[in-house]
Amino acid sequence: MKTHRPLLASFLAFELRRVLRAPGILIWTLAFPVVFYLLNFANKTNNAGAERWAGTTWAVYFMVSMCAWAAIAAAANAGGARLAAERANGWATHLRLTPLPSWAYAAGKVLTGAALALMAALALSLIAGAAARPELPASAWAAMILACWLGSLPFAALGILVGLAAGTSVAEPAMVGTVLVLNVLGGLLWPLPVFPHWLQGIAKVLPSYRLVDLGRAAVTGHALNPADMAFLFAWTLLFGAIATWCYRAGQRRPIG
Amino acid sequence: MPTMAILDAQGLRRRFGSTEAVAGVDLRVAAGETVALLGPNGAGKSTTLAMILGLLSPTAGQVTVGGRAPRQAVADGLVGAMLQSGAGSGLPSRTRVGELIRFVASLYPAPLPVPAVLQHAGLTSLAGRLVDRLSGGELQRVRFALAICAGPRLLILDEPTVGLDVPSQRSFWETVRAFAAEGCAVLFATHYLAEAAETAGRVVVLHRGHVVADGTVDEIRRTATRRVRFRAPDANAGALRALPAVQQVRQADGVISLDSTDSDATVRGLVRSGASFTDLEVTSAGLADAFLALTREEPA
Repeated sequence: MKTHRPLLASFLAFELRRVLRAPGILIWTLAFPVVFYLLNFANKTNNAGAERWAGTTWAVYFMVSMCAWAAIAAAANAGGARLAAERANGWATHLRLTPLPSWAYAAGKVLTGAALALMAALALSLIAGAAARPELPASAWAAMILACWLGSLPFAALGILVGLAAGTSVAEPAMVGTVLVLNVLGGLLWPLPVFPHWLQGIAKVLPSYRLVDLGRAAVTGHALNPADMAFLFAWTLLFGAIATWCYRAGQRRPIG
Repeated sequence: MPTMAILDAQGLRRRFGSTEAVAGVDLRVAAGETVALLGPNGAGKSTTLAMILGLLSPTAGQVTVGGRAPRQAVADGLVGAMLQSGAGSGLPSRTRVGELIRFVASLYPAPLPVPAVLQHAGLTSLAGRLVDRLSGGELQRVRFALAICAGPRLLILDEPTVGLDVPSQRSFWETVRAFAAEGCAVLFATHYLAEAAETAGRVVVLHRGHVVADGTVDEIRRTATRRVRFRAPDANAGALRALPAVQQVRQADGVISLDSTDSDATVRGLVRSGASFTDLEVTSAGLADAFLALTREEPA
């Protein structure tokens, strides 16, 4: 019998160490949601923070939105341009010359994205908590972060998809653009009711809306919506399937 | 009984759309043997190596490494490789040299000890350095370290010295020879005749997807000829042998076949000799074309 080697764990540890060595990724993905949250709530004379909104305060509601934003951007950026660069420089090919199976490579990248999303969600809620002091029980707070973390999976898969499909020069703007569109349409900047009716219909299909909806349920104490989880799961499968297809197509191209 | 082959490829073919990059390659490498795969750009070297490593599946033919299918041989750590990395380093950013080698070694069932790998590759003093801060020659040595950390029985190198300065090239080949001396078979692709001659006991010349020669460099140089054929029922073999540049004369059913190192001179001599002949044709063995292309690409 061969000894069991924890290939996925090895790869994940290796990837996490690399990510932590580049705090720039995290800072960059946090910049927008942090600044936007602080612009809204750091001003003490502005009592908008205490305003009631959708079963909670606007300060909490908007913290969930920006937390979702941070988690989405972090998860997606774990793939995206970084993955495209690794494919272009030959490292991804070298890994195929090792016993690391391709499923473990993909799973390692998705989990790295999820880990970054968790760090981003934690960092944002810490900053928001310190700056605006939104009133929220600790358990609801933890549930909200957990929702952002689990909901980030489809975006980690999307990051891998973009990293596989786009060249190095396109991957970065493609990733930033896709995340921006998904987040705005998903109601992370402006709540859905401000959209025209037809756009709300589209928005409700998007993984960004489903993620933030899960987070909002966590802070308002409403029952979790099974449809949110079903949609997030389906998007993960869809992005994963397209990424697998891109990966296979890439292997049929001529070499050197 | 022949020595055991670590690599056995038979009738390998690979088609991309309408072009056949590899058009029927047979290649055996014995355990411990060092073989150069020599050919001009586009000869099918990289495609052949990719099929040996299981990165590409052949359109036809089969290949085994250590008696196993290529992907299995990779998973078992029988084969290590250094492929062309294009413009990039081929290595992940933000990792330290030792950390990277430890990670890759941890993936294999029976890896070489990391300190031994560092020493073979001449990286012991650089183990703590970030990959992002290495020179071209140092990056190449890290890529070599990754290729050997499985403790492979076959090492595959695809044009490993492209882009290196001459001292780095020399020290790289010294490293490869030292590793090969410990019993690992090496198959490397190059389009430099000199590299092939210095490091490999045997050279396989690939041209337009075919093996056109297989032997030592000297043997191959001697056979890089063209063939002059014509019909001459009453020709004198002795006179034909005296024609310029003729290496060998064959005669069968009134058809004469001359192997010539300079077919133009041979044909001029034949005409000048006044002998009567019909149906003259000059064919190039693929090797002549391959060598022309190779000599044109010799490094400065």
